[in-house]
Amino acid sequence: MTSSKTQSSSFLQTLRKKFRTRVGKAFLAIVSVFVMIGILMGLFVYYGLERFFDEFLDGVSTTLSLYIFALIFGFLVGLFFAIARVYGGAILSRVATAYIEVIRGTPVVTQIIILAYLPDTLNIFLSAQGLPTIPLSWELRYLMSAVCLGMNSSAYQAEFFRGSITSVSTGQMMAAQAIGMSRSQSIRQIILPQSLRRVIPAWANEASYLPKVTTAAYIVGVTEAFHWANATVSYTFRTLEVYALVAFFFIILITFVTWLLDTVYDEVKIPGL
Amino acid sequence: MMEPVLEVFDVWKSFDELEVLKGVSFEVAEGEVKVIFGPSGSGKSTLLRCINMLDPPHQGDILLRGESLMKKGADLNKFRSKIGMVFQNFNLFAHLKAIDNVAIGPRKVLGFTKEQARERAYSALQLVKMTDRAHHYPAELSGGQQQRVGIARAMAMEPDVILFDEPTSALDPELIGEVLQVMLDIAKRGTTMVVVTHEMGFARAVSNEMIFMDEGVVVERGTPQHFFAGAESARARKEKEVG
Repeated sequence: MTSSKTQSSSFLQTLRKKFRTRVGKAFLAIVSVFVMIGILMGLFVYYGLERFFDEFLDGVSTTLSLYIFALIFGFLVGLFFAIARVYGGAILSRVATAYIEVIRGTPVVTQIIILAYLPDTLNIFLSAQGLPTIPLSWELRYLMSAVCLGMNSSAYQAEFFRGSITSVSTGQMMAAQAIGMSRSQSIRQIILPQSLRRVIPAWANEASYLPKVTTAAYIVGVTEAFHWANATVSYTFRTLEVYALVAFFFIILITFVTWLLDTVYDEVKIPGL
Repeated sequence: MMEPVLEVFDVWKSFDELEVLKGVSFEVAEGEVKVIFGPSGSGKSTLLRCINMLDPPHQGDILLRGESLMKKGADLNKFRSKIGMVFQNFNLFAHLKAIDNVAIGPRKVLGFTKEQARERAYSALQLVKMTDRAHHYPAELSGGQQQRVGIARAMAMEPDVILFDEPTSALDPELIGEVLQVMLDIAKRGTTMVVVTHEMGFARAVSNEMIFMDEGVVVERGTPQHFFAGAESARARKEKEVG
């Protein structure tokens, strides 16, 4: 009796130990994502909304693509403006500050309306001049929305990057220059590798906030997740259920992103720090 | 007489209204060890940062083997690669292992291959007796070990002169010895050194000349024998006792 008990507890211990390794953790995380997706699909059946599932997939994949595009675009542009703001000298750093402040200071809805309808605005001007107009399409509207979301995110990301760049001590820059590295070498070899590691927990904030900002694209007619929700409600009048399904999708996405960034942070952490 | 490795000529430096250096001049010959000492705020560290132009002076000239660093269009990165610097707070690159801290200069600045740079770094770590910790990160090393890696990083560039900015003053007392020993070793190998320090034992053992600074000017200079026999200025005498 006692022996079987110790046996089972030691089995549990080995099991627990197994899942404490990298592969084990990743396996658990991916299994949990699949379980959550399973629950989501189960809810569709439970609510009797199966026939809207294909369009739901279209909607969430549009949301996902907007998110990934905006996150990467925002990363590249944000990093550029952060470096410009810290090391850019009098003119470039002011330009960067102005860009960041204008974007952070205006509602995303305003930004997306201005940018998504920019081709239409230009067309009015172009046709008045008798010039050929820009062909309007759903793809163009989608692209302009994605760029707008990317620009919006870049301003917030830039500030996270700026914080982490300035938190890497000036001593590191001095030491790099003292062995003869140029400024750009010092930034690339010494400052960025440290500040990009350090920024991850703060940056995870933006990465988990941005999916919800992409819903602004709904306003200019991009058929993302909320567009699906609104259309489905108009057929079924099941407001609560439909919006709960969309909310559940966001929980799955953001849980996964948070887990992923925590894992990346642990993996690239500098030993001893 | 042989041409000096480093000449500092009438260097002036001020931060806003505050004048930190008011016309400092000295020269360092090949293989010489110069010790600069004086009370805090006397401009010693600023002087070192002026020499490798991390904080360019407002007036005066710095010459490395007869070439001016203050000349317009001077390739400062190249000059800095020939002027080593060891910092009070070590300033090791936190994201690199000890060996990579030492190898990155030869690799990225001198254009060595990865293998050549590693080899150079390894022999520099041998000089400071840190090969057994080559694959540790700075945060995993004690202060004394970090400073020895800092010295190796400077040595690996095979510079014309190495500047030491109070290399032991951020260390716990029991760790000072190992760093001073390494500095003695490299001084004996004929390394040209300019050392800002309060370690009078070190100054006495290896320096060719001691320079006493106060309020941005050189107050007194002479051999260690001169200073230890009884310095002329009362201020230097007091500093020597405190230091």
